[in-house]
Formats: sequence, structure tokens, C-alpha cells
Amino acid sequence: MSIAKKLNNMYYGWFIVIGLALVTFLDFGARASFGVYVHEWEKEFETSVGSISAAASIGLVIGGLSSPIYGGLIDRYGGRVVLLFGATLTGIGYILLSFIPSVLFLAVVWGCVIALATGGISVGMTTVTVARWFSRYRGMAMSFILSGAALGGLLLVPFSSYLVEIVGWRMTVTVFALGFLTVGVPVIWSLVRNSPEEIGLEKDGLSTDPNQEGTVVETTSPLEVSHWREALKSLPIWKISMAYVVCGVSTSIISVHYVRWAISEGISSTQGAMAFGLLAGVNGTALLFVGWLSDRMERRLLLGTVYGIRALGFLCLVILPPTWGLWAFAVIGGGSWLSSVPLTTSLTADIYGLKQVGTLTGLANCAHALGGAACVWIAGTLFDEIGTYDFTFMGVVVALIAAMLISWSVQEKKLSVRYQTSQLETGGATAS
Amino acid sequence: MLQLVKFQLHHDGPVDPVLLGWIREVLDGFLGSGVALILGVGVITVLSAALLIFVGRRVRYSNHSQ
Repeated sequence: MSIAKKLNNMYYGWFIVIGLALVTFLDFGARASFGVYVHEWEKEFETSVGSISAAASIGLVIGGLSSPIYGGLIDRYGGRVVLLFGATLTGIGYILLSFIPSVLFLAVVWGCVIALATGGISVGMTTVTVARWFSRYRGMAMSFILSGAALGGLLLVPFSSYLVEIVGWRMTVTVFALGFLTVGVPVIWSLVRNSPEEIGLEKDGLSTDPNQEGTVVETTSPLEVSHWREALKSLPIWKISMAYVVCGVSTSIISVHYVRWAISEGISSTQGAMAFGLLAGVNGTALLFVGWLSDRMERRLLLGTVYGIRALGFLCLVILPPTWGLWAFAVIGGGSWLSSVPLTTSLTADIYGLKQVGTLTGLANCAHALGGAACVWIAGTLFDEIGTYDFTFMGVVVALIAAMLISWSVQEKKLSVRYQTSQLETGGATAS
Repeated sequence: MLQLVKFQLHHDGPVDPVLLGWIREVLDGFLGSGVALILGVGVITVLSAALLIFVGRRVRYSNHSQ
């Protein structure tokens, strides 16, 4: 079979996944490049890092709070219009950023406009959009999008760093604006559709015609909700969200304090940074593996195991000699870092159905972001007071073990739609 | 406040200044001034988006007709 024929038989949902991975690549790369501009802004606006921080803080809070709102809009109007709005406004936001005359405008443009805009194309929203296209391969599809995020952080930050040196920060943010308007918007416009039914397809490319070979007869999960408030009356959403807050706490603390911990333990900052780079690399690879695996086993077991592995990584930081702990965490922690995101979103969709998954994921993302930000502060303050990270890391170990047990306790086989689906025949997909 | 900025910076990717310096050092070794990276990433991104849109639309019609 020729490549053209193979491509024509490929399920269209995968093109949406690749397109949204590209948008996520741009979004993460552009946002992560904030750090490259800080020094430039400090000089040009004759301002302090604290003032620039305030703009970032506003952005963080607005980004977190906008998540459930965008989720609700996706539930109501579909992902296409929300993603288009987000990408267009992000492009406009970066153009506005290239004209700002002072740090006050930075707070308005970065902290409000761009934070609000990027909320619409955040991984929470892209994964929720994709959730409607996949059932059997949902975990893999979501993980693929997140691997775009990892690649964006790694490639586009040095990209902006070089570009700032050559053409300055204003032209660099204009390049990102053009990226969103000439790549992001057309990709979403041309490829993203709200659901497979909209173009006459079924999830995963399988048929629901009972007379056809390869048919999957879908049922609903026992807890499927038509309004998100109904979900809050059941236990699984609280379990999944509580564990997800711990995820936010652990990733945020390590993101901020990993290199600083290394320095406090007498390890050179270069070695600490190299270990952090290894962590990011392992993370990208592990994401795809976890996504693949999550479609083949109970997601709650994998989610709990991811938290358990992360707890082991934190334990290594406390009990092993510093250098050993540093590298052990890079491998163990990297293997579990972003993997909880696709698992959490897909498990929520499996249990509560797709009608309100946007709002539910948005609420969890909001708690994840705000909880993480608060604990970063606490960890920093504790270090300033007692001069060690040991107590903070041990606290995270305990919280992660609790998250592991909580995740394992979700009754997935009883509640997930994956185990309710009556599969007449699963061998032959109409398009695979 | 500074910690929150650091949080924001790290939350979306590994952008610690030390790490960035290290990545830059490695890339400088391979790419010289960095122009190659800028052009490479830019061109690959635009081309892959164009190809994706072109092939994706064909596949959508093909899937639909099946």
C-alpha cells in the first residue's frame, strides 16, 4: 500500500492531535520565553524584577481562573471556536506586547490579555477537545499533545534567546505573534472539528453500525453527568482532583527549587541544570510511553503508580548522597512528571462522560495551578527559615503517597465507560 | 513575587537561566551564532503546518467518503 493510500486510511482524529501538538509547541515555547525577556525589560523600563514578577503573578492567577470558564465554553460550543479565539487573541496579545512602553503595560498585556488568551489554547483545553475524538486511544492522543509542550519548552526558549540577541525582544515577540496568526490559527481553522460525528465519523475511527464488522456499541458510564455540579456530589472527582493538586504542588516545587536545592547541597549549578535538562528529556519520552500504556490498562493504576514513582524520586533527594539524589531524581522524577496530566483528563472523561469534561478539567487545572503557586511560596519561605529542603521534600513524599493511594482507590472498572462498552467485535476498524 | 515568576517560567518548561545558558552553550557548539537554529525551527514549523493542513484536509474528505 502506498504512503498516500495509508494516509488516506488514517483516522482523521490523529491529524487534529498533531495540529494541536503544534499549537501547544508554540504556546509553551512562547510562554516559557518570558524568562529571556526579563533582563531586557529590567534595563529598558528601568524597573525591578519584583515589578516584572507582579505582571507574571497576575498572569498566573488569571490563567488559572480562566481555565474552568474556557472548559465550560468548550462543553457548550465545542473546542474549535474556543481554540480559534484563544490562538487569535494570543497573536494579537503578542503584537500588543511588542509596543508596550512601560512595566504597567506589561502587567496589562502579559498579565491580562496574553494570560487570558493562552488559557484558551492551554493543554487543558486541547486535551479536552481531543477527548471527544478518541475513546480507546484517548491516553495516547493526549500524551502526544503534551509531548509538543515539552518540545516547545526545549526548542523555542533557545530560539527566542538567540533571536533577542539578533533583533531585540520587540521583534522576537512579533515573530511569536506571526507564529500564532500564520501557523496556529490556520491549523486550528483547517483541521479542528468539534467531534467526529460532525464529519460523519465515530470515535477512534470505529463504526457504530451494528451490521458492520469492527463495530463498537457504546454505552454510558454510571456517573455520566449533564451538569458539572452533579459530578461534585460523587467521590471520584474529589479523589482525582485532590491527587491532581498534589501533582501541581510536587511539579511546581521541583520546577522552582531543583537547581537551587542542588546548589544548597554543594553541587555546581551547571550540574544541577544538566540534571534538570535530563529530567525534561526523560519526561518527553516517558509521556508517550505512559500514554500508550494507559490505553492498555486501568488508568487509575497507572496514575497512582506515576505518583508513587514521583514520591520515590523525592525520597531519593532526601536519603541519597546529593549527587546520586540529583541524577536519580532526574531519571525517576522525569519519568513521571507531566504524565499525570493526560491520565487525569482521560480518567475524568471516562467516568463523567464528555458533556462536562471541559468544566471539570478546567476546575482541576485551576486548583492545580493555584495550589502549586502557593506551595512554591511555602517551600521558599521554609528554606529561608531553616536552610534545608529536607522537610519540604519529605512532606511532598507523604502527599504523593497519599495521592497514589487515593488514585488507586478510584473504582474505575465499575465507573469508567471503558469497562461498560459492549464490544461486539474489535478487530477491524473502519479506519485505523 | 520572584518565586512566582520562577514558578511561571519553570511551570511550562525548563527555562532556568543556568539551564538556558547550558543549552545555549551546547547549541553554540553545533550551530555557531544560532541563525541556523532560528531559520531551522522557523522553516520546519511553517512547512510542517502547511503540509499538515494540506494532507489533513485530504484525509478528512477521504475518511468522510468511506
